[in-house]
Amino acid sequence: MHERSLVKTLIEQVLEEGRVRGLGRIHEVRLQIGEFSGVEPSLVESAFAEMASESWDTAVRLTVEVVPLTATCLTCSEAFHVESFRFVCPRCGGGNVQVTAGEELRLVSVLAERQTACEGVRP
Amino acid sequence: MSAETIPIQKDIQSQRRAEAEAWRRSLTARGILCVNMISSPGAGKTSLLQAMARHWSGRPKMAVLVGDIATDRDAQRLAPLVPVRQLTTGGACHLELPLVRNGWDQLDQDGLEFLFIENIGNLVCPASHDLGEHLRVVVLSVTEGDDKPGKYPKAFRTSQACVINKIDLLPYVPFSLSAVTEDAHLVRSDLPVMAVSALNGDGIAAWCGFLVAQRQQLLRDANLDR
Repeated sequence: MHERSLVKTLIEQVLEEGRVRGLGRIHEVRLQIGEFSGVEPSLVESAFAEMASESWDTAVRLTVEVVPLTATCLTCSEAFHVESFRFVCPRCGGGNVQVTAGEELRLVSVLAERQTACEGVRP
Repeated sequence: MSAETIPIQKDIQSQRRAEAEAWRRSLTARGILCVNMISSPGAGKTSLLQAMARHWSGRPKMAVLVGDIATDRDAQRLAPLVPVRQLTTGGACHLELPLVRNGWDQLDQDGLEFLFIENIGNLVCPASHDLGEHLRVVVLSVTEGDDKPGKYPKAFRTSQACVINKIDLLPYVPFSLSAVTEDAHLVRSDLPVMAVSALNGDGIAAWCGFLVAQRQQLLRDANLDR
């Protein structure tokens, strides 16, 4: 269970982006979590709900999009969804496959008010 | 004031990844192969390291950073054989780079050729943390069952070698080496699977030979072979 430390990093990065871009109140944080990132979305959501209130005075919503685990077969070029974590090409049966998505933890965007002062952010 | 969507598109682990990559490069430049060993508790990581240290007997030179939640029992077992530092996490289920770097700074690094990081016994979280290793090795013992690769796919997919330990117990437990190899290869088709007994020494020479070859390859790739 390392979701709390990831959420801490996420919140730090949102705060940093807010400072750098001169954002005001943050309403929503949008995160992509890969199916094979080793991170459980529901645990991230509950950790965020708890930790966001320690960082912001106003409510900040977290929206998680789960990114499916996909790969490309390096033998026959088939692009496919990796079912049940079996990294085997469904077309040729080969195992020489490269993951193309599904390992990410990406801060996609925030829904925020643009202003120069960082209102709502505790020093 | 109305809210708007501000695109960011940033990997939240990019800084950690960059730090791990920088440390890996600095170890490469010194000719040190770093191996991160992961397994469930009791698979025999420490026993395997003891067997390797006895086999090598000081040449090539290895050191160990050993992680546990509590106690320095593993460091005490290894201390008569190799330079070692115990890393205690106080409850965390995996090692992270800052703790590893802290232990590294206290280690006798003179002439080192191999650095082994023995991770916390856990087949889940350690698979998600790059410690700057060149090689991740997943250790599985025969008493755990031959169905584990598919159940812990990230540990096996992100490893570059798999050691099956305690093969001296094969006559007593329902474990098939061919079944575990087949299951591991569904997760990673090119994963080398090596069978050993840390207790009686079977397979240890071949395993150590594999590691020496890996280090030679690293030196060749970095143009450090002399």
